[in-house]
Amino acid sequence: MSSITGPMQMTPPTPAEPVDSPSPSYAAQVIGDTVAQWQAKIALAWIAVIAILACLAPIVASSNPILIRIDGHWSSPMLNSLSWIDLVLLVLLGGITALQFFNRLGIARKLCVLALGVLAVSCIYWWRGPAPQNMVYERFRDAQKSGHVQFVLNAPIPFSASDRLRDQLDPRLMPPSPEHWLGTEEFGADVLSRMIHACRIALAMGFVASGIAVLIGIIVGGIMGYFAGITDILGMRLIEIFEAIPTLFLMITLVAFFPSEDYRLPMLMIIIGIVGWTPYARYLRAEFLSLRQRDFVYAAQAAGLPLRSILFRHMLPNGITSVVINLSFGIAGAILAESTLSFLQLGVVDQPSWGAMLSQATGQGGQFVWWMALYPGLAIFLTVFAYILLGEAVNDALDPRRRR
Amino acid sequence: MLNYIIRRILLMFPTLLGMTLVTFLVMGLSPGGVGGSLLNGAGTMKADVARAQREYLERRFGLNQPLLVQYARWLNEISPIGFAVGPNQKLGAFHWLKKPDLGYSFSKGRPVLDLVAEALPITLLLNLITLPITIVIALAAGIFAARRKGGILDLTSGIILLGLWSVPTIWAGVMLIGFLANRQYLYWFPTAGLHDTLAETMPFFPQHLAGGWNRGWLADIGWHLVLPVLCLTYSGFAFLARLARGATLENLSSDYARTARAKGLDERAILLRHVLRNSLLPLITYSAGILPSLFSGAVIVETIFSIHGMGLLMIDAIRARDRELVLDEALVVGFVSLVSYLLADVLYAVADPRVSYE
Amino acid sequence: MENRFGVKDFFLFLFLGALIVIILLAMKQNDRQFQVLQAIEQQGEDQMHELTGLHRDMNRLQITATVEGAVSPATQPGRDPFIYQKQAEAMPGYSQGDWFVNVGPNSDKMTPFLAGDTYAQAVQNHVLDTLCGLDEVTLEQVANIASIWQVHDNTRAYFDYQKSKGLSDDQMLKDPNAPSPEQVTFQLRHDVMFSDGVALTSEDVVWTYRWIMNPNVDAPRDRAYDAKIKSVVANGPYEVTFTLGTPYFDPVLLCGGIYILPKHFYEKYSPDDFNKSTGLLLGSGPYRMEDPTRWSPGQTVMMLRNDRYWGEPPPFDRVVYRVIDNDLARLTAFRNGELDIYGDQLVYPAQPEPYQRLLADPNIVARTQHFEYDTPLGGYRFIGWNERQRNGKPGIFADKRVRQAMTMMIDRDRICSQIMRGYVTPISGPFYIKGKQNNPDVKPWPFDVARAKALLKEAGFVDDGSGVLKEPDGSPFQFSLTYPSGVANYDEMALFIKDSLAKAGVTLIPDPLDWSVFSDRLKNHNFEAIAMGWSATIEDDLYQIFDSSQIAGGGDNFISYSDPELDRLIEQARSTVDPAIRMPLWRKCHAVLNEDQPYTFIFARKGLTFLDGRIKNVKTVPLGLNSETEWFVPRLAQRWEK
Repeated sequence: MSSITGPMQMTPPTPAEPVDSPSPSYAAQVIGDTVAQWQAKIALAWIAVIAILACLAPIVASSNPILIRIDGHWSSPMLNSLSWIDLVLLVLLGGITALQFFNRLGIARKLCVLALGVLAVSCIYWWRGPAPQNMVYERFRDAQKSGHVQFVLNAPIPFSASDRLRDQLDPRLMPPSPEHWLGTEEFGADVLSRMIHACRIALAMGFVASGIAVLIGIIVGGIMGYFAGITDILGMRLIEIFEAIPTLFLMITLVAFFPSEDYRLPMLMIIIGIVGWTPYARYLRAEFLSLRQRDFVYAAQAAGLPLRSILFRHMLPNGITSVVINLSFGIAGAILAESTLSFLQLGVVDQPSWGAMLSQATGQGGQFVWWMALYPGLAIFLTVFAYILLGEAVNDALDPRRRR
Repeated sequence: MLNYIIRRILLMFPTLLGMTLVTFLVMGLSPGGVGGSLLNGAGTMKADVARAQREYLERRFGLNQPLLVQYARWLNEISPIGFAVGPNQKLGAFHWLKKPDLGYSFSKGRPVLDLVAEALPITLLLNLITLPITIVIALAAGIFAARRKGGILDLTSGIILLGLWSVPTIWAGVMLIGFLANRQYLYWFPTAGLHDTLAETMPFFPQHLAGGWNRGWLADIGWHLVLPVLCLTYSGFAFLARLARGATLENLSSDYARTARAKGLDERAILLRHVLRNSLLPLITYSAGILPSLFSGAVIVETIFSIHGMGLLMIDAIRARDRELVLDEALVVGFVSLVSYLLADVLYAVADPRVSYE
Repeated sequence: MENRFGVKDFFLFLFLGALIVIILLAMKQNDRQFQVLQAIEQQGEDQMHELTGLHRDMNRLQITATVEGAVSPATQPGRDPFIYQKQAEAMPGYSQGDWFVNVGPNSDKMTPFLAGDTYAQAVQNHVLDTLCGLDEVTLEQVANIASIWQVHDNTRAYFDYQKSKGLSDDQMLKDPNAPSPEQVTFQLRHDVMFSDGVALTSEDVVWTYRWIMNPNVDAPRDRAYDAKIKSVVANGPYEVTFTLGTPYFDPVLLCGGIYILPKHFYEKYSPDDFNKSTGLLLGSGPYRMEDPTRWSPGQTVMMLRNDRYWGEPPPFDRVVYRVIDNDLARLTAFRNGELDIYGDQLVYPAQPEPYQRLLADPNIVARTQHFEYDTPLGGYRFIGWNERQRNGKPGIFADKRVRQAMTMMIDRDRICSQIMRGYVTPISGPFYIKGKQNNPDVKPWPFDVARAKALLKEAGFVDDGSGVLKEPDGSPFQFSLTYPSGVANYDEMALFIKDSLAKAGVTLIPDPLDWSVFSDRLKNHNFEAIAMGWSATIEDDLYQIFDSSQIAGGGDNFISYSDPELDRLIEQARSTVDPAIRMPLWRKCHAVLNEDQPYTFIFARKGLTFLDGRIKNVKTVPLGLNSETEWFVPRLAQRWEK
């Protein structure tokens, strides 16, 4: 995936010492080593900020007031407009934060609590009903102007991502002002609000797309490495084919398969995943090629364990290190790929995305809209940088030879 | 070694075949026909002629045939042995030696060979200027960091390089054009393209003419290339600089360097005369492997700066679902990629005699 | 230490390589200069030829002077095609000279009939001639190469025969006994010469027609357009008769609008060579290409005044089309003074935003002139409502009331004034607003949401207070609007319409598509609502777009609209040659379309053009901007070298 924008990662895999079964203490040790480094701390801090913003987006930036009293009726338009995903994310955020204080509970217990929370919120959602489909964002501002409102408590940024300020005469491309801290974009929506909502797409893209890539890569690479011989030769050709195809072109073509707006986001994730699985396959294949001669593998085969079990329960945990090292870079690459596709206007239309906002920076008339270039670009840069720093930190933690 | 090279070259064919087949199938199966060429400049269509145009194109270029048949016909076209093809896709006699023909692009109305011959030099120009600059800067940065290993400058330069690696090309391009090539801010560089409007009337070198100082064609193209090359270089040298740093460190602590130090040579001479040469080799071998990704990176740069190279040609081809152009371009790009990988491996073996591929 | 390949050698190789490249480039530059020299030499030779030719002609004139002048009586007196140009020449300060520098995108072909884009057409307009011209004020045909013509209207016999045999239009074409509905006989001028000195005769006209009809020539558009012509016959060197096979309402426009190519120049090329050529352009027009055989894409198009032109010499010494592909770069070049015009309607229409920004710059306004005008070339934008679903059953938009309601819920005036910044004209029908087909009594539907909702209620929609209207079958009223992605202002317009409709309870889902995918969906009628633009001409035939016979079989009636009354009117109009009867028929069609609303017509683009201030006599005419041949630059203001 990083081949789209930068040089290919050609570091030969450096396997750590294999152990016979996954050891939680080892994983915890690696995590601890990683986080101990200061660049990892900064990177994780930024990623945490983005994640929190992604969860809190509908509360932090919304045209729907938190609490409003119109003609004597109290209501909370914001709560009414939250979708199922919004609620689940909020519960997860709240749950994870709260559980930090209960260190004595085991991981399993914590997960149970979170699952219960999600279930509860789903019930509330089912009872309340779905969020309204047609949002007329300016109706509360109109109501205020016409004097029907007795009390209103707005969100910190009182604009939704799709609120194009239809009640104003010409809100397009306004420079940053006290009212719109980062200005407005080409169609009139508030830039800061859109950037906050775009955090979701960025993070989702990063995790899901690389997740898909890792999954495909592990399966293909594992099978190649384990069986070797003709499977390996064929598999290598497959990998070479995929690597030789120019990724951007493949993505542009694949986008045409999924033109419908609703499905574009998941399809983008799948496309980026499909295009980027080859590095993981290579690493895992190299690992498995050496691991398949080890004793514990012979033992497992002699014991008659099913193939699935041998590959994924026994060999995988030992070979996973190089994949993990590159996972962070993979996520960074996926975020860059999504930004590039959105920039080329192949991505989503109404949903906010940093790349799409960046493409609005050069207007038709030739004017340069600096606030659309600086802020979304900065957001992409910082997020990608964070993941790369994280990747470097993991690299250093796993391979002590690289430490200074 | 020769054995290995021959084996690799032979293996290239199935890979190229598979790659072009996959690209073509993906494009062919995706929705969209010959529509691209029906659009006119204003984004409108003329009602009565659009249908006739579409039908004619479909008949003349056999665009309605099954995909595999179209692919097979293309293979037949580019191979030196095969059937001759007459107008309207009729198959002629079988020849044992015929001229491979890259075909005719229906969306642009010109032979593909002409189009590629125009676009390829431009992309190559961009990439081949970028590569040496990247290597030189990477080497310098790597040595700089290695000399001050462990110090604050080493750390900072490492972080800066990582930061540069994470700057998205789209952001860099837009910012550079917006601030440096814009009348609103600094107008140091031209807005787009590779040539000035009046480039054809320019003499070759900068000189004084009747109408005033004339930049000259060579300097003009250089001026246009500054920003695109800048966009392409910065992402490359982050990775290479780390490599250079690692290689330099390794060489500085090697036996022969120690011997040279013992002989009384000063640090600087050791660096320049011995270590530099050995550190350069891994850089060169790795950069041969970077060439394919430079090709793709150049696509974004070409789009932003409106430079008509292979990348833009490919995007146009995909947008218009132009079969010949897509296949031929995929072939060319794939071929260049595979050759550069092979070159990288060969150089690696040449540079380090301990490596053997047998 | 052995001599290994080291840093020194690497730089040495690099230096050598660069040296070689520089040498090659220098040689190329040398080449170019050589070509320029050659062109100059050629010009000298031509002038020499010209002089000797003139001598010969003068001798001959004295013999043939008495024979000339016999013109057959006709229905259309040939009017002087250069009347406006002569008026310009009479203006004070008129002088010839100077260049006119225009700009075009990177076109692939200049060879006539092959090129698909209007840029090539703009260049060809300078070099090639047609039999008839178009008067830019009265919008009627005037003489050009043809001095006079006669129309023989036989449509009555044609329709009688057709009815008696019960044949379709295509069958009539194949039937050798079928009478031809129309015949046009053109009398050509005797003094027309191609730019290389060879006289233009009826042979060239016949040859051009045969060449277009040759299926091996890559000219499907012209072939389709001219398929109505059954035969072209020359009666003598200066008379040509076109016989039509199917009735067409304006046969003079059809036959008289074909570019006439020189047979002696083009017959040297086989169809294959012709198709592959990029720049074969030789004609009898006011300008000629610098080299009629050698133009390749990416080169500047340089046209010189045709010294052998049979008509009034055009004002500019040269017309130049520079090549700039990027819109922004074109704007910058105009700002820098490297171009004389920005926003040539035929080549690259200016978008509202850049035009407005240029206007806002006082420096630019001081040294330029600008025009906003109505022109049919801009085309019009509309939303088409698909009346049939994918399964063939009538869709939600099959009901006329629903379509009318949709039109009333879209604030078209605000789209024109805000999104398009006022540089478009709101329209109510598909006809050019200044053309004769347009019905001035037809008023566009107002923007009235209340009335729209009442209509919807009447049509069975239910407003249950949930904020979303329900269709008669209970499902929420939502549809997708498909439009081509990447074209200016469509996104903005779609989002604007989405927000307005949301207020009324209708959900619109924007569906931008890559052009290739878009036209595929169009062909398969696979969409719910579509937003796009048609380009227009002086007189538009509604048959392809609105006739019910064009629904199936790949016609352009992709919304499956069918109205028997409209079909009848269209059929009548298409077969009426007399404009006095035909135009009222089109106007009735306009009224019917307005009532039925198969499309919601949004706006027609205005032409937006900036011109350098030194060019005089530029003004707006009903056709758009007046012809380039009427402009001039006073001697003192001339800028580019001769």
